[in-house]
Amino acid sequence: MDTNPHDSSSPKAFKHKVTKIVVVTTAMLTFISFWRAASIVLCDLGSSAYYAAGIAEQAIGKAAPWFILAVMLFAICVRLVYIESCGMFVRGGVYKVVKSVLGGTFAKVAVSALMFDFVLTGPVSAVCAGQYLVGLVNQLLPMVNINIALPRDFTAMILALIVIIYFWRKNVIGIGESSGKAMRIIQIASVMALLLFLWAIPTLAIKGVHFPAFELSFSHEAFGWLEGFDWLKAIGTFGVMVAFGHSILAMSGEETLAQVYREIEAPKMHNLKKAAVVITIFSICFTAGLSILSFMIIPDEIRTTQYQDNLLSGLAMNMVGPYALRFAMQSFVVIVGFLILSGAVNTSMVGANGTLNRVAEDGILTDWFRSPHKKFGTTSRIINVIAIMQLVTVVLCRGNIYALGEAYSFGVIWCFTFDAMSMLALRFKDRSPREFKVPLNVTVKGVELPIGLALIFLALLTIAIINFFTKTTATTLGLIFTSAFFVTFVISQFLNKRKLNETSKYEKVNLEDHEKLSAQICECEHEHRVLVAVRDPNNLVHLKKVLGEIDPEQTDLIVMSAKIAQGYRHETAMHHLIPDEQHLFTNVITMAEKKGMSVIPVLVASNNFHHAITQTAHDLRVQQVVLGISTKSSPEIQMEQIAMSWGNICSTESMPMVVRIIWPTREFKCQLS
Amino acid sequence: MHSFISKLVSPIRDFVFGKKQKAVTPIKTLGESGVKLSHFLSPEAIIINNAIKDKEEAIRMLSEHLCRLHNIESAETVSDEIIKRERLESTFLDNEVAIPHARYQGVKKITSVLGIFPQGIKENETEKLPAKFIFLFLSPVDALTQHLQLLTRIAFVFQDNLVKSSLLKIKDPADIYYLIKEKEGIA
Repeated sequence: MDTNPHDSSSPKAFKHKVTKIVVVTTAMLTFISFWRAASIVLCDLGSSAYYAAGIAEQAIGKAAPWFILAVMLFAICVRLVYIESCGMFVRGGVYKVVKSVLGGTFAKVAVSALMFDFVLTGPVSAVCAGQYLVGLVNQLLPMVNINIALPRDFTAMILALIVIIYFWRKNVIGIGESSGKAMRIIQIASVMALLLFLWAIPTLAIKGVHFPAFELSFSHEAFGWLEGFDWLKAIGTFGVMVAFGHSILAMSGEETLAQVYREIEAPKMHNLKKAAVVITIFSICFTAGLSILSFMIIPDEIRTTQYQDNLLSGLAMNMVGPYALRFAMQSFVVIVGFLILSGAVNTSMVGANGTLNRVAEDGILTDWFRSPHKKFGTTSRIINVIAIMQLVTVVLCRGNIYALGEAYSFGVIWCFTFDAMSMLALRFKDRSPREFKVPLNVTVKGVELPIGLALIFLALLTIAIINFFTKTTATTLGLIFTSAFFVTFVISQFLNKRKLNETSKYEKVNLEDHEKLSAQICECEHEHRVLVAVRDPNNLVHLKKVLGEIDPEQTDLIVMSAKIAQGYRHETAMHHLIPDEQHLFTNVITMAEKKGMSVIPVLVASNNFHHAITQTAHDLRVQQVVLGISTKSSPEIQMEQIAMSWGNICSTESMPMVVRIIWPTREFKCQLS
Repeated sequence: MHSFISKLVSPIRDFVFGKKQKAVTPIKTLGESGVKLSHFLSPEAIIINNAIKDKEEAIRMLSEHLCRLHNIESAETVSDEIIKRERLESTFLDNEVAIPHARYQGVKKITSVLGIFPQGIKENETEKLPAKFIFLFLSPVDALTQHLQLLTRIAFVFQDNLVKSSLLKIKDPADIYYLIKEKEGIA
């Protein structure tokens, strides 16, 4: 990164002090309500209602819905751990938490494991959506005198491939997962659940209330590599733990909560807690409640033969009432299922992309992965890798949902275990006050013992170890996949380091992260401040003109650029500059130094360029904003957008604002306020 | 005339807002010589519509009203111009406010209308909140500074959530106009 100090064209020849760039990581995003945050998580967590109990029953028998309920209750404990971690790391998630305590290697292992489940969530949800749809179509065809039945698994596989390809394209274009759409899906799903619960009342009144038996009947493969250990099987608690491990696939989505935290509006922690309450109530009623109801209403012989892959369809069809009404309800269930499961496919793709982008922030992935799409600006190569892995998974399982379910949960459980272990260690390593603590803390001789957190960690570790030996498909595939991802991370990091060590033509800069911008942080010295917005390293005509005009003894010159990210979790690498930004700021610093002037470089994250400019101008109490000509819109439109954005942001105190748009031959100036 | 209307509506206004109206802080800051939103409005220019949900339909309806009010010919051309501008870059802000506009040869001064849509007008493919307040205006092609200042002013006035929630409660355009004037400190 350093340049030759003897070369007069080198920026360092002018200034030996390393330039600081103020990086604003969160201040300029549009935030979402707790309802929306909860909906995003529930699209993932809630969708498991459609398949978890059916898959679990095949492994552990009739007691499956009780274990789904137990998993949903245990999920509250895991959620508490995540809430505590979110309070400490706004841009959190397992990678950040584990890295801060256990180091980079463990963090890479944890993320690799998590990636395995992200890759599986898409296919599980897509195939399940396909299964529900095929089930409905196969019932519909005889009604219109077409006496053929679509091959269930094969058709589900084709539909799953279509769904994944659809969301692949959507994510490459950059239409981020819409929190509004997620909320709408959850609203519709809530209506569906309410209708099913209401209809269940007369059904149970007529058929009689028979709760599912707490009978564990394990399948051949349920004990996995422990099949021969009969003495272990004789321990009742062990059997319960094995059954719990087979039901854990109902518990995904907690990591999504950590990723979405940075987008939640203020008061953040308060709203996170509200979101957690909404998630808890919905997941218990929807996932656990509907699973139990299905086992109460669908007769065993029908459920195990016809509806194991589409349990909620079975629930609708086994209610009391006319066939047409039941069929209509089943259709509604299938439509809702298709929506929520498709939402989960999208969440998995966006989640995996977000997680890998966070890893990329640490320089672990090479530039090739992070290179933005030429047209859409998304990290399309990462999305391509995820989508291809999901498509291959669907083809390999050939539409068999049970096979996918058996492979699932390795990543989730180990990711949670690593996270809880890190948070436990942090309680001793970092004793600073926390916004939230997992309850059950006992102070002995001035030392606080986190009993609750320790118990959650031990429970997770126990389940992870039992699952490791009993869910053999998940373990084998999980280990292969995790190792492959881990090796990719290590090689990629090695290549990145080597590249960074090479002599760079770019100016060396220090990045200083701040959550909010202020004149004090930017070390502004004068009352009069000018902000120049820059984007293209080869279009700095406006900066050059301003540098020729201002008196540095009386004016601070702030040069800002914005990293634009669309969608709620399309992360951008904020902890180091990508080559284009290095190029941009090198040119800015070089130009300023040629004039013998200093500038204050600022880099902000935002989802709207105009908003980023006006917000920065407002926060720094800037009196003049200067822009270059845009390649996308005319100066008039540019000015109009800035005018509206400024009006929308400026506070009630007196804030004069002049905006100038400068291009080589002309200047366009207006006093907005 | 205006003071007569004020006297007429003030008891109703007091009843509707009670003490809350005092919380609407008058602006004294964006430059006393700057443009005022209420200068370009009148009670007749304010419409409350509970039916329309489509963006283009709302723009066309407001354009027709604007043209009728200010005797501008060819409402269709006006709405086409505004929609054309809207397609270049949306004027829907993320706070339930939209400011569709155009610089138009056929007007000699800024002319505007305000549509209040309690049901909200949603833009496709965006995360933005549905617009409940659509301020549509035309400005002469040679009045760019005033045009830009008005855009800033509208966005500024409608920043205030209390004003917006109060405006949604009022059913009489005269009261709405009065509240906007009050917000601007010129009532």
